[in-house]
Amino acid sequence: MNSWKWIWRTTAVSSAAATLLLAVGFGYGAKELVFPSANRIDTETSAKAPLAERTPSVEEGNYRIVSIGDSLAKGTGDTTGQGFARRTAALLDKKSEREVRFLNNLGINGMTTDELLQELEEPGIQYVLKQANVILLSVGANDLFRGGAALQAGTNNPSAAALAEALPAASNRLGEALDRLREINASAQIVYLGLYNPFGDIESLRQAGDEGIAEWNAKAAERIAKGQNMMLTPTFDLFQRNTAAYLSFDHFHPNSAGYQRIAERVVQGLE
Amino acid sequence: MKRFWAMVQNEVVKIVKKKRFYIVLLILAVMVPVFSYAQMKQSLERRESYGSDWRLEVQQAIIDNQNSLSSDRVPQEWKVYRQIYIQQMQYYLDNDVNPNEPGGVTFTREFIDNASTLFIPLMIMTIASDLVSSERTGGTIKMLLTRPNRRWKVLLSKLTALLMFVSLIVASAYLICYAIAGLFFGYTGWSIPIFTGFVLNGSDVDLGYVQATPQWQYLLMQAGLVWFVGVVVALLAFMVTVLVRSTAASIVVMMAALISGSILANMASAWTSAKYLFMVNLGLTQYLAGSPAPIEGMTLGFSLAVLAVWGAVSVIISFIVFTKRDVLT
Amino acid sequence: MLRVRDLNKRIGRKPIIRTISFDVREGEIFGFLGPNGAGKTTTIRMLVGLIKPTSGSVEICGYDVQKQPEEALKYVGSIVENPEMYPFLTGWENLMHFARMHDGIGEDRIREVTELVHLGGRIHEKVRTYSLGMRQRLGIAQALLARPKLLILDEPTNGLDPKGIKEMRSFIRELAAGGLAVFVSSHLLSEIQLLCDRVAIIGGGRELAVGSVEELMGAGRGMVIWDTEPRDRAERLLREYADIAVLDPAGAAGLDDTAAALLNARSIVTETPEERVAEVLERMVREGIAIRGMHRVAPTLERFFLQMTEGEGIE
Repeated sequence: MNSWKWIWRTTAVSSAAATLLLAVGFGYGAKELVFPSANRIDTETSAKAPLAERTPSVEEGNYRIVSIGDSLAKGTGDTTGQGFARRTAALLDKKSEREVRFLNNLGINGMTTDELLQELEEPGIQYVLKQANVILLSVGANDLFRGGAALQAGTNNPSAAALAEALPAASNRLGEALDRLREINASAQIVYLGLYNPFGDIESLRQAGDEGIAEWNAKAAERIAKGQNMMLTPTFDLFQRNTAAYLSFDHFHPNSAGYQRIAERVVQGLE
Repeated sequence: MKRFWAMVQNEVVKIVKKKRFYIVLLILAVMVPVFSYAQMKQSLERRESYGSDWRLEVQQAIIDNQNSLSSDRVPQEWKVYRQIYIQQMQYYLDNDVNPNEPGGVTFTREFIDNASTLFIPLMIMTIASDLVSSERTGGTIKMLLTRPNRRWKVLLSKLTALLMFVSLIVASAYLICYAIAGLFFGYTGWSIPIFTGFVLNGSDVDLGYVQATPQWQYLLMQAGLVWFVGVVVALLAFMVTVLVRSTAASIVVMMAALISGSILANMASAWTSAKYLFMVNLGLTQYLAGSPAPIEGMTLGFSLAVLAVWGAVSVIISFIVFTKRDVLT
Repeated sequence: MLRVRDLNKRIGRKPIIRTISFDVREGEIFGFLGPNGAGKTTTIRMLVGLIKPTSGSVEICGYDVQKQPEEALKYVGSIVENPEMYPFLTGWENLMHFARMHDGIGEDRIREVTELVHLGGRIHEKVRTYSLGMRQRLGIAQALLARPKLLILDEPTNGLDPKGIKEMRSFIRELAAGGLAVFVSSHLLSEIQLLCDRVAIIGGGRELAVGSVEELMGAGRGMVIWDTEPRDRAERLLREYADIAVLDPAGAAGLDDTAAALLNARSIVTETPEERVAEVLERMVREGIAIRGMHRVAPTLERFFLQMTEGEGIE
C-alpha cells in the first residue's frame, strides 16, 4: 500500500533527523552542565559591566521620577502600596501639564546610608538614575534608629548618647551619597526627605528623638544648600502632633494619609 | 533484521492510523496560541507600566525581590530561590542582556521550560499508554504473538516505534510552538545571548562558569534534555502498559506519578530521599536555566543517573514480564 | 504434524489441564471436543505458544513451540477464540500487518487469500464496518496467509448462521483435502461428528478419549429400542442377559432426536451388544412375544461422552 510506505518513510526520516538532533543537543547540554567550562569574562567588578557604558535614551519635556532609599522611599506602611513617591507622581500629573512618568521605585526596607552608597555603584541603579530628572531620596532614619521593630519591643531604645554617636558619620555619608547622585545625574532635581520623629507620642523618647532629628535635619539642610539643584522637604512638623492619624500601626512608618501629606509638600517644592 | 524493521513499520503505521499522533499535534496547536495570547497580554501590560525599557523592569524586579527577602513572612526556601533569582537578574542586567527579550524563540524556550515536566510527558503518554494494553483489550495480542517471532522482538519493535515518536513529539512541540508564537511575537531571537552555567552553592550563585550562549544553542541543549526526560517517561509508561491490563488504568497510573512529582517538587521537600523518585527529577531544564533544584543535593548528573536507572529498570521489567507472561485474555 | 505430549498447566496451585496427549496428522481434520470450561481454549493457547505449559511439550513439524517458536509457528495458522483484528485498519491493512511478521509473503499472496475467503469486494474497508461473518473470513484469511501446514481453529462456526456454518464446513474440508492438517475445537458434538476424522474428547481438563470418530462410536455400545407385546415378558426376558442393560426410556439420554421420536409407551430401551441381537430376537419369537418393531440406534459421541464423564452434560 502506498499510504503505508508514505507514512513509514516520512515518520522514519523525520524521526531519525529529530533523534539525531536531540541526541546531539542532549550530549552538548549534559556536557556543559556536568563539566562547565570557566568563563573568560570578569563578572565580579560590576564597574566594567556592559550596562555601565550604556547611556539611556531620554525623552525631554516630562517629569521622570525615581525614588531611592529606605522604606519611606518604598512606601512601607501605605496600605495602597503607593508611598509618597507614586503619590507625588500622581499629584504632579494632576497639577502639571507636563507628562509624568514614574520610572522606578528603588526603595529597600531598612536601607542605611552605608547601603545606599553601595547601591549607588550598581550599574542597573545608575542606569535608572541617569534617566530621571526628579530623584526622590529618603535615607538616614535607619542609621539613627536601627530597626523600628526593636524600638517597638522596647529594647534597644535610642538613647541620646547613641544618637549623638551615630549622627556625625551617618550625616557625612548622606553628603557622600548626595555627591554621588550628582555625579551620576548632573541635572536632575534631587529631593531629600527630612526626618521626622516617629516617637513623638512616647514621652520617654520624644526629647532625645526630637533633638537628634533636629540636628540631623539641620546638617542635611546645610549640605543640600551647598549642592546644585537639590532641596530638602521637611516632614518633621507633619508628624509632630496627632501622630496616630498619620502613622501606620507600626508606629514608625507613615500611613496612607501621612504619605499623602508628604507628597503634597514635595509637589509644592517642585512646582 | 529486515523483518524486525517491518514490524517497527507495523507499529508506526498503527500509531499513525490510530490518530494518536494527530491528537498530540492538535493539542499543541490548540494550547500554544492560548499561552501565546496570555503571554502577549502580559508583556503588553508590562510595557504600559515600564515603557519600552526592559532594564527598568528588570531593576524593579530585583528591588522587589530584595524587599521580599527582608520580610519575615516569606518562607526560608523561597528566599533562597529569590536570592538566586536576584543574582541572575543582576547578571543579565549588568551585562545589558534582556532575560525576557520578546520573540518567537524566547517564547518557545519559556514554553518548553514550563511544559517539560508535565505537558510533554503527557503527550508522550498519549501514545505510550495504550501500546500494549490496547492489543490486549482488543485481543489482537493473540494474533501478534502467534506469529513466528520471539516475543522480545515484538516488544522491541513496539518500543522502537515509541521512541521514534518521542523524538517526533519533542521536535514537533518546538516547531509548532515556534510557528505559532512567531505569529504573535515575530520569528526572531535566535542569537540573543542566554546565560547558562550558574553554579549554585546553597543560596549563592557562583558566576565563575557563566557562559553567554546564543539562544539557538540554548534551545538545542534544552531540547536534548527534554528529549531525555521524554525517553524515560516513555520507558516508564511502556512498562505500565505492559503490566496493566487496561489502557485507562495505565494512563491513570502514569498521570498520578507525574502529578505527584510536580506536587512533591513544589513542596521543596524536607523529605530528602524523595530525590530518588523519578518524578521529581523531570525538570532537567531547570539546571540549564540555573534555577535551584527542588531538593537539596540534586544536580544534573544526579538527576540523569536517577532517570537512567528508572528507565533501565522499567525496560528490564517490561521485557521479563512480556516474554514470560501467559496470554489469558 | 502436531504432536502434543503430557501437557499440563497449573495456574497457581489449581490444575487447569492434566496430561493431555494427542497427534494431528497431515490432511486430517482433528476435532477437539469438550464442554465449555473443559480447557479447550487453554490447550489451544498452549499449542500456539500464548501460554507456557507447566510441563509437557507441543511440537509442530518437529519444532518445540516453547523452545523454537520462530521455527514452529512458521507452519501454523490459527484463530484463537474470536478473530480479533485492528478495527481502525482496513482488512487489507490487517493482512499486510500480519504478512510483514513472516518472511516472504507478498501482496500476491494477500490477494490470493482474500479471494479464497471471498472478501474481495470489501477488503479495502475498515474492519470496524465488517459483520461477524466477514471478520471470521478475514480471520481465516489471516490464518492461511503464511501457507501453514497446520490450521488451528477455535470454535470456527461460533456465531455464524446455518448457511455460514455449512460453507465453513465445506471450506475446512477443502483445505484438508489439499493436505492441510486442521485442528478444530468445538463444544458441539454434531459439529465434530460431521466434520472430523479423529477426535480428542476432554472434560474437566482431562483427556477422556482420543481416536477416530468411528472408532469411538464403536466403543460406545449400540442401543436397541424394542416395541413388543406384552411388554412385561419381553423386559423380563431381556433382563436375563447379563450383558444387556435395560435403560429408563424417560431418561434415555443419548438418543438423538430422530430416535427419541420413535419412543412410545411400550418401548424398552436397552444397550445391547450387536452379536446378541439375533439370539434375543429368536427367543422372543419362540416364547410368543409379538415384536412390533425394533430399532437399532447407532452409538453417538454424546452417548460415549456421557459414559466417560458420568453425566456432566453436553449440549
